[in-house]
Amino acid sequence: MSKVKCEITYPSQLISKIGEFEINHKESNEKIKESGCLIVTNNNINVDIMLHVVGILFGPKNAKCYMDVYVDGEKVNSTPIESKFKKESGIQLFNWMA
Amino acid sequence: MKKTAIILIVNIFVLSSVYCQDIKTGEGESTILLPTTNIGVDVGKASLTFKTNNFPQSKLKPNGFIWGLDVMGKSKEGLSNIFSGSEIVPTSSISTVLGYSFSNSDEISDDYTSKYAKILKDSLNSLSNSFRKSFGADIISEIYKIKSDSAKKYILSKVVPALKVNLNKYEKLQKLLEEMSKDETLQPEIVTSAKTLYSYMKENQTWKEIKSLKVKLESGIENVGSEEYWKLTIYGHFGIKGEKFNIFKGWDSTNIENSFEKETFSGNSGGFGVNYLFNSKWIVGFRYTYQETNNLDELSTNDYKVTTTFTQNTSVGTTQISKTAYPNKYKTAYLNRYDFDLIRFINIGENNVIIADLYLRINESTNQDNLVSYKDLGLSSSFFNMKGKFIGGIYLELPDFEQSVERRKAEEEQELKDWYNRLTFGIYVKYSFSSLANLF
Repeated sequence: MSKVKCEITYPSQLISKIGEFEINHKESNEKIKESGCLIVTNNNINVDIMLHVVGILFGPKNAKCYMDVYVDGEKVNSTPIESKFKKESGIQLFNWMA
Repeated sequence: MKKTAIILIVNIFVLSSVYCQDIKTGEGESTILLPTTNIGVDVGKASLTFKTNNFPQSKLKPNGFIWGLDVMGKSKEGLSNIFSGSEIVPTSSISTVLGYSFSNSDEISDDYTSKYAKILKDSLNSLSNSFRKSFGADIISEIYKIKSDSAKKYILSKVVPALKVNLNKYEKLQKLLEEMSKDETLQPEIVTSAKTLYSYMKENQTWKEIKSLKVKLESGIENVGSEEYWKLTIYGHFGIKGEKFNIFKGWDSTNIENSFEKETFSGNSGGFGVNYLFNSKWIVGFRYTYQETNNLDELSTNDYKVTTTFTQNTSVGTTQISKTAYPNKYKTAYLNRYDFDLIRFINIGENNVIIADLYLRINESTNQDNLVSYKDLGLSSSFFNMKGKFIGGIYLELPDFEQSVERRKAEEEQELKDWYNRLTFGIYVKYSFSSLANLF
């Protein structure tokens, strides 16, 4: 089992709510480190087959959010992962798989 | 030296606005509660403000209590008076906000995460478990079937460490075998064995199912349809404002000091407000305030200089004192204030957002003799850079659009103007610590 940490940066003024984040479909611990920086962690994730992070922030189209993912302290994404805007509900969605 | 130090201190405050990303709404605050923690100076108004609230933390919960505190200190006569030697007319205020916020963020989160993922979670778990239990061992037993000892030894030396990798070990192993099967520098026995193992992995039914599940999972979540996001905030607010100033009562030749009277004003205000945000595009805001205030904004101060001459023996001396005072027309008044805001988030290019705010401020006085009722209308546009380095904007305002103050005057004193001649506009910019750090 691995420790997975996601560090999300977001434009604080434009993001009105932070929704749920799941790592491999397990609920994870969310904590605001500072205004505009969210830390999502779960220390008990099996990443043998895959690593899947799904998370939502509520904000307008250009309120882009970025995420870095760490597995056992090692960063596993080469470039910051950018959120996608879902027009119909007005959310910024992370749906990232490794 | 003292003056330089004051200028330096003021500049530090001016430049050290932390997260001071407010939207401009002319006079009076916006009805929209924004998540600001703010220490800043407004040079034009000579005010120092401190704001704090729990809005950033409250974002984590779909529903919950919110609170905020604003403290403001201000020189009524502007910053220039601090340096001009005249007296300062101090104003201070404290205001608090307490409210509750509701939203449908939980339902939307469920649509994208829990609800959809539950369908796949069980099958993913069972596939993942059976794969983990047997697949590693299966691969090793396949390797032991290789007849060439040197090929067996070489492949084991590569595969065993690969199986210890944490993230995506099987995908990485498959890639390693694929590369080995194409590597012409290796012994033919190794290449042939790697090809066999690669095909074995590729054709494994469980592995195929996991791969298709990954695709299904990713695209499935991408295509989830969900309801429109909304957030409703209801709040109450209460404030206290204090001012100290001089009133000029008329010259008293017997005792000059009696010409001025020190006044202290203390006014309370309270009311409630509602914000409704929908689709992350629009916010509608309304706030009602009952406010105890005064008519100082309608009056302007004068500087009075009193020179006293005295003679002692053959010497003649003079002393001069300065007083800043309002004319003797000071009155208290009560206002019913109705503030409306309509905010629209406008996306500019790929990375920037403009928050446009159309606002209306209705100030109904309960006593027209003491304070005239008036209405302001305005539009502000605040520019947000996504990296948070800079914020600024422009605003356009039509103050007292019914010209109530002018109409109250005697007809020969009235200066009624067309609306376009009464429009005021301005540019405002604010810096944050991060932007300053990047300047050096």
